[in-house]
Amino acid sequence: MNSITTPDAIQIVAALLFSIGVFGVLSRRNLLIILMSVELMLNGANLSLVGFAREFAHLPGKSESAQVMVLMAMAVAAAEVAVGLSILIALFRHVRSVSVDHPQATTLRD
Amino acid sequence: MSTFLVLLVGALIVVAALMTVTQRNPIHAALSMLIALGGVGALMIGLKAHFLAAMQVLLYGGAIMVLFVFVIMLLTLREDELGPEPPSATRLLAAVGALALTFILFSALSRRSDTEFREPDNDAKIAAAEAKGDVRRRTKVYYGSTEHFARVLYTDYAVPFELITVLVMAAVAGVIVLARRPDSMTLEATKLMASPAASRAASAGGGAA
Repeated sequence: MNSITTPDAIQIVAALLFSIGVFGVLSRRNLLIILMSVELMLNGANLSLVGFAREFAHLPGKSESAQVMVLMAMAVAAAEVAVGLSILIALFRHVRSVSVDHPQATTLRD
Repeated sequence: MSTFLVLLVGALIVVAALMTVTQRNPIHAALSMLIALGGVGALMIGLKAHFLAAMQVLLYGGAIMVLFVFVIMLLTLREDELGPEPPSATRLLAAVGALALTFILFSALSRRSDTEFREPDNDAKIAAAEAKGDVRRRTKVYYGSTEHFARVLYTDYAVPFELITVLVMAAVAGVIVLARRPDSMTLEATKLMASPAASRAASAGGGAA
């Protein structure tokens, strides 16, 4: 454990979180869970950005820019979830299922 | 923030994230995700991103989680509406893909030179000013605090910040269009349904016609 530095530990956690999100998107067919997995991926990227911002904070310059970027990512994530969930509701009204593999799921428009 | 603490919280995050992607019941997955998001917020506090940690709790733990739970409650999914899970071969391939990605990320991380968190440049300047006895309240803005964050956001990033409002407006418009009923219930129809007398009159009129 001594060989792992704190910045590396943060990046390892962020990488694992992102990979688990990718696994969720690839392995599940439930649209709700897929959206949650996308959230996990975004969180992994955000954690990585905050970690790098802290790591290079001692250098003169604006490492806070990464933190601003994280706030933007959060706003985009909120908008993305709102649109994604409304698509989910439209899908559910149409085929009475939240499975993206449903045979009629590809014909959302009549 | 010690490495041990980061790894401890990181283990909690990873377990919660794994539960999120493996639970069959969406509400269990949502609650597991809440734990993972809270863990990320805790790590952000350790990384001196105090404002972002608050935003993580408010935006992710509050707004986005409520949205998920609200939709889960709205749909009240039965077992057959969840749909079948993919065959185990698909899951195996997904696991192989995710592990390959983990390997790529870790190999990139292993090429980094060893670093440690040092005192932020901003805080070092404050300490230097204090040592000289030149302490003004206005200049004591520590790294990652709300005031420090706001100064960067509203000076260097004012235009992107304003553009976010356009994005949110577009999202609101998109949600209204997408979640509307296909038979586009008009305002008049909604009013008719709301007042029993009017709806009775409407149905009587409909019956006569």
